[in-house]
Amino acid sequence: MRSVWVTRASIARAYSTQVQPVISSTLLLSRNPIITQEPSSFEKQFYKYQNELWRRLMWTFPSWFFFKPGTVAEQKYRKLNKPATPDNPNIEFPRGRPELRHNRDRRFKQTISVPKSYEDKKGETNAASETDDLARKIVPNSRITEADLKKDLASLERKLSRTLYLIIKEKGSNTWKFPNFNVPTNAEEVSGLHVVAEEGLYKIGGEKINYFNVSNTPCHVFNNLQENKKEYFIKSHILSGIFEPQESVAEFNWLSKEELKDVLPAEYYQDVSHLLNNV
Amino acid sequence: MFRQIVNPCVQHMSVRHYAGKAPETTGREVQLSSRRVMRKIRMGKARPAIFYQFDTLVELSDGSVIRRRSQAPKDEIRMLADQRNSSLWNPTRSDLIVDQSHTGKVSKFRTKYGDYDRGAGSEETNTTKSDLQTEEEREQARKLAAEREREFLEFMGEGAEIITHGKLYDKKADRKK
Repeated sequence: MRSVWVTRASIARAYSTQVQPVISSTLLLSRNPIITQEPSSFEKQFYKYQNELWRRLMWTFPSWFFFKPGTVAEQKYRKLNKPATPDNPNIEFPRGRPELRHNRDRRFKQTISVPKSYEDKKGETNAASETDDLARKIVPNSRITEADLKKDLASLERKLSRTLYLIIKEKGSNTWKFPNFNVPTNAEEVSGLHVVAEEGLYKIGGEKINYFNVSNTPCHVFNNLQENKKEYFIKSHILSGIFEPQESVAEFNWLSKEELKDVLPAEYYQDVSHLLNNV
Repeated sequence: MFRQIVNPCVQHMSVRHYAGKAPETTGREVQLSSRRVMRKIRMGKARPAIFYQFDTLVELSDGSVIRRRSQAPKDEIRMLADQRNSSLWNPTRSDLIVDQSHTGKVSKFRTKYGDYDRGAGSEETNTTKSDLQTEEEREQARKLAAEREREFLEFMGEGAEIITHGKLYDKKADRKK
């Protein structure tokens, strides 16, 4: 009997001395890719091949439908697209006889150039007119932005084809981490993990952020043994706006997965890496 | 048609694979079913119906450019109103400005006939006002109409007079007679 009491007391003692872990929520705020990825060399070749096949299979362009005969547009079209050479039995064609159907040589794919809507100004570069003019030439934007060239890691406009994640360095600490917020212990102030994360985001980054919370349920938990903390991960996307660091934040960066590997503590990264997008 | 290149070594073999008869080989091992009727692929029917498509650059209203295929014969399309500046797709943005003066057929129609309703409304108010019009104004309107009539008669030349009675010439009625 006595021995039983002793054991019970010892168990109770051990339990009471153990400190309960602090519950906190970590915000995994990502900026989704804005443009598609650069295709690999194999993909490029594949798409080129498929595109050429597609072009060969296309039906003859019905020019009579788009450019009504007798109009100025048709004249312009005819100027750009010379009719193919017809087959003549008296002439020898060393590269094969043309087979014309509806003014198209059936042996080849059809390439058609259409009249340009803009005026082709060669040599003239008038900056003011270029930006205002609705008839200016359309030039695809560069995939490499200014932030990429300057290596500005805090910009949201870097690495447009990759998913970027927000990491911060708090004042007084020397390690990078995802923004982490403790859940208040008071019974009155207690709120959901996602609420803590959302309110925390505004506290560290200002209220000029438009975000989308993926779920109220955390996607991961990290056992922080050093600080005796359980860090629950809440996924969220930044849709628009700007992250303006507040007083508690010393530094912040938007980094892709590979860059995070170099910056985050190794153990922490290993635990979290499966949450991060490879694209 | 493509010219058939016939290898002299296999000249004895039939090359009409598709024409209905199964190929006969010299050996008796291969015997294709005679029931299976091969459909003849006619000229121009061997390819799917893909209409001619252009490689088109589309510039959206926010300046982003997309490359796409399009059947419209244009290399470049500039969008003035699209999903990037439509309040329907951007409910959180209050800074959207769409220049309605040159966007689409509807706005073109509105600029042309938008005043129609307003004009009708004002006319209505005019008619209600007309009851309150003073005698002077009426007199003025009458004078103006008379002046117009006089000008018109002058324009028609000497000896012109306004016929106030009789029937107008009817072409149809004339033809029947």
